[in-house]
Amino acid sequence: MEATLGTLRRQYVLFRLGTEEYGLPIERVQSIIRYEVPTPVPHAPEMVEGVINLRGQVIPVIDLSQRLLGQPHEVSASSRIVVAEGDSGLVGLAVDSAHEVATFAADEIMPTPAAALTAETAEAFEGVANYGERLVILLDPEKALPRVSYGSPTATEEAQS
Amino acid sequence: MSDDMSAYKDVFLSESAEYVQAITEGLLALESNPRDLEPVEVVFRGAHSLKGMSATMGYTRTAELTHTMESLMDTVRKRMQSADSSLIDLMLRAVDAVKELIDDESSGRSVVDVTELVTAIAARTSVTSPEDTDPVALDAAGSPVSAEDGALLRVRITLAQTCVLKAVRAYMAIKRLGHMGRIVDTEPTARQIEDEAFDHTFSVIIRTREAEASIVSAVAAISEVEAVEVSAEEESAAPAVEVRSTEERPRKSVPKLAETQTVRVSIGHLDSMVNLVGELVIIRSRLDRIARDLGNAELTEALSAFEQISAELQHEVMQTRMVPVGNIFNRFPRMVRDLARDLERSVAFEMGGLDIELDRTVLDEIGDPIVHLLRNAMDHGIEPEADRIAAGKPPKGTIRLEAGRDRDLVRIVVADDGRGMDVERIWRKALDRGLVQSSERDSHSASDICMLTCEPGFSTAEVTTAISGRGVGMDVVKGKIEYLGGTVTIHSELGHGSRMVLTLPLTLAIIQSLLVGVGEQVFAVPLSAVTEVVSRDEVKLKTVDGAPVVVLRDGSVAPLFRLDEVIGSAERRLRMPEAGDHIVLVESGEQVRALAVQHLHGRHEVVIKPLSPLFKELRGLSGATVLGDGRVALILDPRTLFGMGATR
Repeated sequence: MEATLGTLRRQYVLFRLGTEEYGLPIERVQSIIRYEVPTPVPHAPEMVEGVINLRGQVIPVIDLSQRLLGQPHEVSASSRIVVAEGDSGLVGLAVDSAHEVATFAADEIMPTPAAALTAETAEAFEGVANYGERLVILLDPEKALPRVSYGSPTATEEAQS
Repeated sequence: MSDDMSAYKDVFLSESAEYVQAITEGLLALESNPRDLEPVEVVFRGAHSLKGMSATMGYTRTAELTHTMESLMDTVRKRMQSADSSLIDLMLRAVDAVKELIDDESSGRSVVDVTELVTAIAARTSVTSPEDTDPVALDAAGSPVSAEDGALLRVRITLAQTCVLKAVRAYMAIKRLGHMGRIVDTEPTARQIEDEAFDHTFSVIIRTREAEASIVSAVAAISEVEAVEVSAEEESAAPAVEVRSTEERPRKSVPKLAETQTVRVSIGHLDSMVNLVGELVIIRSRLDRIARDLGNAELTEALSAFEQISAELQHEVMQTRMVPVGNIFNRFPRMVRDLARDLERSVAFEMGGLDIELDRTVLDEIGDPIVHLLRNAMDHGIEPEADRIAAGKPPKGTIRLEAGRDRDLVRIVVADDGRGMDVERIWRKALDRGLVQSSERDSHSASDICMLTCEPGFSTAEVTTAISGRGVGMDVVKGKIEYLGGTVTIHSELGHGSRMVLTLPLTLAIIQSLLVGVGEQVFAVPLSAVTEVVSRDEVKLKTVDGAPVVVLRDGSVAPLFRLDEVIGSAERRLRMPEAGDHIVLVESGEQVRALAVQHLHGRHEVVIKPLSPLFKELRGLSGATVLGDGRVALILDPRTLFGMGATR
């Protein structure tokens, strides 16, 4: 047997947020659509931009830049929404651009350089990989996609007090 | 069991549940009037049908138990013994066991053991019915067949070569024959038929008084049955199975359920039909918009016909999902009876509005909340008999469960004439639990305070005081009802009883709504919550404590909220509505509130799309919908909206 765990290959959808490039396992990505301005949801957590109509289904759009980089993303012509399957159903991830699929073998993935990361976002990263000249941060879908517990209860409480 | 079998296993499961229910109802009716022979017939026939069905399915233990039940009831209908309470208890135990057995056998297990029960029933049957001779002995002796038994016939049924679901067709044929007489045997065996271990022909040996011709026509009416032959069967050839001499029941004895023509459809099909019709409604409004823009008269006309048809289709589809509340209410009398016995309470249980219909999905969900309310009424509402007499009340308590329709809402009321709720004690307890501040006392009505029992933190482990138990599960009840888009209200008078009112939407999927707008954003307000829409100039605006209110025509005052402030992130600024704003009066719980909006976009039917679980903590929204132009509109939830962005 030639194949070992180290040579197991996995495909990632690559997308860009600001100057960083990220990858999400392709099996988690349902589609990539052109960015459209979501309908804002009052009192939703900050990282939720709102909801969009995806072929009759209403799905939330997450500002991944807000979540990972702590700053809202800027809309441009290349902006896309990556529709991914999260633990709580489909979610849209607003990204600056998305166009490539890359394949990495398990032994090409290196641990994230700890110094470069804040404690909060580190858990969302599975590792990094070199893609040509570029360094791609690979996301752990379980941790990078928001889970139900993120529905911050403080959003409503603050407004009430 | 083959895959095809599962199709008619489902049929068996749902039909058997109906018979179990019919038997339970019959037994309860018999208990209240032991001289009445009609419920005896119902129970007897129910047991008989169950026996036949379970034997067909190869569920031998169920067949055995229901056989003994049938025999016991036979002695009652022949007036060989009376239906006293010990007999009813025995039968009810047997009914419970049947449910467990069916569950057991249908899932291929063999955990449930009913030997003891079978023996007990058999003992009860034989003790009081000495003349009931051993069935096998009777047959072995070759006793002449009594006229009542009818003739023994062999029905040879040939299915079409193309028939795919042979077992299902065979089951239908056997079932139909079962209604016409007593199935004595089949060739091949029931098990082999079930496994489709036959070519295309099988035979059913039946004892019946029906004419041959009517048997032929009944069976031939089943689709994919190619040929039916009936011939006389040698008496001696009849195996000694189930040859117990029972009176043949008359043809009209088929349970009532079979009288209306129905087809069983899986709820999954109905759900997808509703979704598809929902999409149709969306496309319809999109087409409407295009037609308006184009101004093409022919198109508009065609569209209006389309609109009419799709509205009818939608109505029909929604109608198929409507189920009378009686379907779940009917299990409560038994529950209340058992509970009354356990708690040693004397209670008359009344039900009303059983024919009120609710969407299937809603109905499935409200069973447990109602059980909670009934338990509470029994446990904490109705006093022990001595206490009632001391309080000058009738010794027997009354619990009433009633459904009623009000516009597109259904109200379900659980009322008791028990001790009622002690508002002051509840208030003190809520204070203890830190749910309220003592300064807020004046702003809470008695009903508000009763509602505190629905707060998650209200009830704790110590359930000793008269009122504390009220909180058990009330938060669960409220949560479930609100999840369904409904509301819970409580009315209670100390010493006189309580009324719990559940208000539920008729259906979940499509609602009539009023579309309102702030700036560019459109929101939908469920029309069921809208009482009136007025322009700003039509009403008197005032301020109370600096907060704007609307003075309604009848002089009452409703607090006024601006939608932009309610949904805005900033705290409420308590501004008066702008000129040109519209004021929508909405019912929020039991209160009327005025909502000032910038735009009115009219009345629309919207399909409710659930919001992602990510938003489950958010108050004020009950879902989203897709408008004709593809935009998303959030559906406001008037019950929780006003707690959302504003101070109370």
